Amino acid sequence: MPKNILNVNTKTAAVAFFMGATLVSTSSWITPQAGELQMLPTTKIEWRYRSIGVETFVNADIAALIKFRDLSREWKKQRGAMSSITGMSMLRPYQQIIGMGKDALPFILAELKEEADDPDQWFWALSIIAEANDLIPPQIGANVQGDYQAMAQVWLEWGGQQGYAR
Amino acid sequence: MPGSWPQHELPNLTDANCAITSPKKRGYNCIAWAAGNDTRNWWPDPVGIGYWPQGVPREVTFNAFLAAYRTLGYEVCADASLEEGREKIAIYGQLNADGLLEPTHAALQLESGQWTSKLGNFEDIRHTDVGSVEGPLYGTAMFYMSRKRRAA
Repeated sequence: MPKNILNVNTKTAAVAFFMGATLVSTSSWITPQAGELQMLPTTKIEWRYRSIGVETFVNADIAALIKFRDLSREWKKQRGAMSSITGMSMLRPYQQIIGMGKDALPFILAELKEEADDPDQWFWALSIIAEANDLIPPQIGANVQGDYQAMAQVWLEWGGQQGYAR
Repeated sequence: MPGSWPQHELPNLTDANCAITSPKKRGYNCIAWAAGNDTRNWWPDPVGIGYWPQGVPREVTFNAFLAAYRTLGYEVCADASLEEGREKIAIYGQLNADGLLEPTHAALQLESGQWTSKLGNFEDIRHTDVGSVEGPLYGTAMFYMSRKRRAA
């Protein structure tokens, strides 16, 4: 069976994510029929697409996207109606997103952009990832603290300057 | 219950004791809402994400929360009863994973004697009493504070 390795970079993955790409959703598996694709998980860092006569392996950038999406979903579920910024940031899925390091930045920033005028609390993760990777985080003044819309704008500008956001 | 919050976290809320008063929104939380602010999230986190009144320790303790509301003129009072000319807040808490009592939620008393709460990232609600939002998520009402009611 011939193999085709897709070189999907992180930015492409983020775009695919927000176009609602079905390739990252296990609920969208396609029943294999002639000419159709079937998505099969192989390892944690590799997903395989199989169609008649062709196997395609997706690289680690897509795997990072899948991981981020799963962790994000689980974080929101665990957070529930919690009000504590500290508490929601200490939840395991959120900490695992922080643990993804710089790989998570394009996805977080894309989320912030997508959330537009109702951004979520991604700022703790952004701050910690930036500091842990010797990236100078933006200055968030006291007049902006707690104002998620204004904070998202600051971080999106920072992401653009750093090359992590488009 | 038509609210979008996880029902099991707030099991005391029913159609009879709760009405939804806003769409869901992440831009402010319960601590801000009780303080009369619907444009910011208030929280004394160590990273500096949440707004916190200047000069009040950024620590998740009742002392810090009481001090934060004191900056708005509130003082600790005895109970949740409706007092003419006074507006009250209730601060909720429960034991954290380390066994320490920690603030979790705040609610504001309306002139009618009912209460209003913002439920995390979900909706604002009007609820009949402080017990309506007690439960596994917010624990119980631990402190009450009051101040002279201001003109609407």
